Amino acid sequence: MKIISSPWQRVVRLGTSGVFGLERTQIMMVNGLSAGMIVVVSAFLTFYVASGIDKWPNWLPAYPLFFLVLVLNGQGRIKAGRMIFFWGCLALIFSWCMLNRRNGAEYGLIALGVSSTMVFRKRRSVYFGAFSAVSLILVYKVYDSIVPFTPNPTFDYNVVPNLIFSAAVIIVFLEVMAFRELAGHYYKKLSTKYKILEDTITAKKKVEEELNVANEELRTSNESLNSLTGQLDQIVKQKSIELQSYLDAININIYSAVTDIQGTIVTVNDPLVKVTGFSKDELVGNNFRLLNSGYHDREFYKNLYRQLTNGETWRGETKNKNKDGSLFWIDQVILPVKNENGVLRYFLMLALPITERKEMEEQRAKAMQILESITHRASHDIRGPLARMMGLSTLLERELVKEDELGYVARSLLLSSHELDNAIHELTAFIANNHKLFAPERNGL
Amino acid sequence: MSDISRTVVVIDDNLIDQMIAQKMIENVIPGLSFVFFQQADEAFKFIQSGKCKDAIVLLDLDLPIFTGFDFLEELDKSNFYLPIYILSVLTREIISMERKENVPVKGIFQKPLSGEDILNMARDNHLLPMP
Repeated sequence: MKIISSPWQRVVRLGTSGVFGLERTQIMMVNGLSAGMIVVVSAFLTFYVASGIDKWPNWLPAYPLFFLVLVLNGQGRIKAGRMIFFWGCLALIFSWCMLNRRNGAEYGLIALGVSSTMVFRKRRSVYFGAFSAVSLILVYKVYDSIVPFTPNPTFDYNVVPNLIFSAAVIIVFLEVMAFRELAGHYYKKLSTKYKILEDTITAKKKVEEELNVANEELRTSNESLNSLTGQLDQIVKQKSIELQSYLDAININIYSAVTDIQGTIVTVNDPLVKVTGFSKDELVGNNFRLLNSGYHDREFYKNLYRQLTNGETWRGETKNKNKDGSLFWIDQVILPVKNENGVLRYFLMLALPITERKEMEEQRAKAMQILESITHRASHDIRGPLARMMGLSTLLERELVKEDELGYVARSLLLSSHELDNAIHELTAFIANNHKLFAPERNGL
Repeated sequence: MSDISRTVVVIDDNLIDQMIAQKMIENVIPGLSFVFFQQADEAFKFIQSGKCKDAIVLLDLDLPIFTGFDFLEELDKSNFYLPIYILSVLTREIISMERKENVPVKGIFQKPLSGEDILNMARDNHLLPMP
């Protein structure tokens, strides 16, 4: 609940601009006490006048004192305001004690002594202030016990001292409450700060622990990575050696070429250059069709290209033509090569020379044809007349031929003999014409 | 006695072979009648006409235009069943290799026809006299 009104707040905050912490509290306390004292003095002054107490002018010096304090604090002259307040109050209250004895003003000295704890900054000033207040009480007490007292007839000694005592108690109570509020405020503030600090420390510790774990993991990873890098280096070196061996082997035994997807030759190896008869410069940049022998039809190449553009490897045997027009066979594998985005970029061709094998196959096929032809001739052209001669001879031998048929049988025998003779001659000539196909050094048969 | 009504259809483009076959068979199985064809398609038409439903066929394979194998295929497609004997200069092995499995043939003889071949054929067709 907001218990301080806005004008009161403005008065209490006089001179606090740019000042923080305990000093701000002390200024506010001095301002509050000064303003409060103006109210209290005004209340007592009113009461004195109303009660017909003749000592009412004694209250009047309080006004300039407390207004001066507020003015000084308002001007930022804090120290002066503080000194004027305390020592001015001390002098004023003591004068009240001495000028109007037994009216309870000494309780004001007690309240002032207590307020020294709130007004002064330095500890010794607090002690000194409180000591001064107590000392003046004692001075007053001694004086009061020595000097005979004459009561003031306008003064009601049953009421006024109790009122002043109550006011002093209220002031002390308010000061203690201010202390309590101040302590509570700082406790809360410190607790919050402590909590934040504690949370920060906990969070920091947690972060540090996580950092340590992460560092440890990083260290382990680094070690693994270093180890792996070492192993990888070894593997790469080993694989490089193997790859180089393969490449060396390829360059000796295998034809290889790389073309773009239109078939334009990008690179060729030396064995392929050698077998084509072209120079490397003539081949690179030219289309692979340069080696087309015309042996395979258009459909053959369309299928080949379709398979490759589908991303499949093509394997097959092709007959090619070299620079001087000679033909050579290769058994080739063509692999589509894609880039990292999966886009077809090149074709890699690897091939083995198979010209000799193909020639041998052709020769074997021819040899087989000839063998079949010989078998046919032997079966029909030779076995036919021979079987007839055997049959006719059997008929004669078994006397199954009538006399009038003998001439026919004799002519048939003669005819068959001629047929057989011709067939043998033709076969002999045929074998002689094709004997090269059966030469062991040519075909391995 | 044998069934003298049986006819042997000889399909061979060589007349000497036709004569040898006839005389060799007549020597073993007398009383048979013979019909000769030099072209297989004519023989096929003759058989299709149904004039000799119980004929025995001796078939040469190496025939002009309509070969012995063509004859066998056409006969297989039709509903005529006749005992067919291949009589060829080719060996049994070669004939077996070239012949289609589903075409029914009663026997394969190599020229010239031997007495044993004829006896086998006679036994198959109950042409021998009863003991």
